[in-house]
Amino acid sequence: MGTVQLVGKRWENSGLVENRKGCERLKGQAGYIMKPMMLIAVIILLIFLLQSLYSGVGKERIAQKNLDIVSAGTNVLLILANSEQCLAYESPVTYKTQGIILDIEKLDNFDIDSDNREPECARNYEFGWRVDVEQIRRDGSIDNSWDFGIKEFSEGQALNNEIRLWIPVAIKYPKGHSHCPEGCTELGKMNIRLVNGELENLAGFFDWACMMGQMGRMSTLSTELKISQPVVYKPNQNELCVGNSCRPLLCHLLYFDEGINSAGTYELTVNYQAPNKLLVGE
Amino acid sequence: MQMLGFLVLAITVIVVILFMRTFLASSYGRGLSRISERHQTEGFRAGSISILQTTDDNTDRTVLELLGIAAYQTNKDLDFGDAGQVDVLEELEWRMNEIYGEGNWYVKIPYPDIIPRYQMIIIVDSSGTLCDDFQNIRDNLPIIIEELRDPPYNYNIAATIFMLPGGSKCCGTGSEDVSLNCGGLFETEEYLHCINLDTEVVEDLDREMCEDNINPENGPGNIEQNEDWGRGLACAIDIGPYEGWYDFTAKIGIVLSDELPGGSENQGHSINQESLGIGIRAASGFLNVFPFKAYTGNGCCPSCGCDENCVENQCPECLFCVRAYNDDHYLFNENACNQDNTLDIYMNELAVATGGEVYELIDSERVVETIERILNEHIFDINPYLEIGTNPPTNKNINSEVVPVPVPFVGGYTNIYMYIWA
Repeated sequence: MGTVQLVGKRWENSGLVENRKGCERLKGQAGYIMKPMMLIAVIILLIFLLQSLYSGVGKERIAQKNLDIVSAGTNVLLILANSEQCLAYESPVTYKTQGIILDIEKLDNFDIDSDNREPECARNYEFGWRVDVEQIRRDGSIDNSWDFGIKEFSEGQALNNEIRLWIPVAIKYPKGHSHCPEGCTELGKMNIRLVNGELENLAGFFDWACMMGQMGRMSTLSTELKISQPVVYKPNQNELCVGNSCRPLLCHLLYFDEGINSAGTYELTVNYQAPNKLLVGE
Repeated sequence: MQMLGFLVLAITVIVVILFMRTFLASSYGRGLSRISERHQTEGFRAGSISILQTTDDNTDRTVLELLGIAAYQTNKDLDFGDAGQVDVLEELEWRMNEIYGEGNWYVKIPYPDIIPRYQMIIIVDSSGTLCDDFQNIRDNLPIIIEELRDPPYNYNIAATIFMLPGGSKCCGTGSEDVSLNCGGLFETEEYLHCINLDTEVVEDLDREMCEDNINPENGPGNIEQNEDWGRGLACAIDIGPYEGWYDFTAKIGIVLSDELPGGSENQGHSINQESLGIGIRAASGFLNVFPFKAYTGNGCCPSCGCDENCVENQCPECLFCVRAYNDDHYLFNENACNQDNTLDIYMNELAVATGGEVYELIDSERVVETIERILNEHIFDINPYLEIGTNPPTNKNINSEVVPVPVPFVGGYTNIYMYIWA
């Protein structure tokens, strides 16, 4: 204790105590400025952090969309080329399906029967697509071609995403075919244009509901859709149009003759009525 | 303290931001990359299958079938008689160019393993003095061939032994007379065969130098010259190894003898030079010859002091045992001994002309060991595959696919290695 007092006296005596008090006062005044500044800096940093996170999430969503469409395109091409319900050649001897080898007869049938619709074996209810198959000659020219799938797609504001992909294929001609009587397998390319947009989403929803109803799996379905262009239903052609693009539907729509006239987000509910009708409610 | 606290806080926040951004970026980056890779892989697989399943217009065979046949025949040009000829690689090339673009792909088809990469013919002097060397070959070569074919060597080798005619009888065979020829001495193995260069075999050949004998003095019907290794080499090349010659293989010739070609007793006559010349002409530019100089008894030159009436323990390092008249006889081969240096010159001439090397056998136990040395010490240029396209660049992402291809006739498979890049 005695030592402390002695030291205290020495401080008082040297006048340094006054200086210390002065410093503490200055420090206190600086604290009034520094604290709000630090607060502001921390807030700025936090905003920057949040903005970075949100921009990352946004980029991820865009990437996800790209992934989805590439993935869907790949899947459709592979299903078309490998499924016996689609185009894959099935050996009449072994009854085995030979993937990537397209049956010329199935190709001809698709070309005629699926001129403005996607064949059910490779239907995607989020995307619309059209495929063309080209047979290639030795000199690189096109020997023969077939196309099938939907003809019109969402355009302008209604178009969300679009991609074009292709895979090589072999085209099998059986014995006795006029192209090569001895039978042959030619080289070809299968190109796909795959589109995601409001027309595809809306028509996909109606077709999905129709199919579920026909299969007896579900009678009522709802969805929320963003619409940016007027939607028109043409009952005589059983076609749904968004803007200038139209596509046929599987089921006829009831109570949707007026369509949708203004942009916005709509919640649609449909009830299936056998054999091929959908009652639409907004 | 407050400033320090703020600094720590700021750094922490920045680190968190960087971490989150990196994490998110890598997350969707990985996803995108995976899907993109999957698309490329599936597309490439589809492409390779479709190309290989397409058929050739002339033969109606798929490209896959054609490649299998070409791999077996080790030749890209296939002849289907009336159906016409097909250049398999050309058929593959235009298809690959159409699908992947010129300069963006490379295809390699190794020949099936059943086809050897190293083909060895061994021409053996069948005089009685080679009995011990041949014994070494007989006992050890089958084992060594198997060993060389297995890891770690992995030499896909096949050997065919050609015994010069007139095979002498060997000692140590008891009452049974066993001659230096393939019959009875050698069991045929999968990758090791033995052919006697006897009258029947030689007369079937078209090549004059071989047909006219291996011993001109006796005529084609009476071939007895068991040391005529120059002509013997030419005959063996003409006959070819058991599996036949392949264009791409490393071709190795071995001549095993202790005498001049045509016999050391003929030194000074043209017969030795003729035989050597025939051998060199046949082998030059076709195969590498590695003459094995067997022991000539040169340690005892000029004489062993007993000539033809030696006994077993009389200068044993120089005597050779031969069997005649149902009895073993010990001989000093004076001719071989005296022509030792000339034999060096002859063998060296053959080796130099054919890109080989002379190996002097210190004793009969070294024959097989020396064969192994040839493979380990020499580099042979072999291309056991068909290939087409541009060699893959190092600075691009390469997508590869391996497609098994059935090889007809052998019931096996090889692989087609396909590479593409953007």
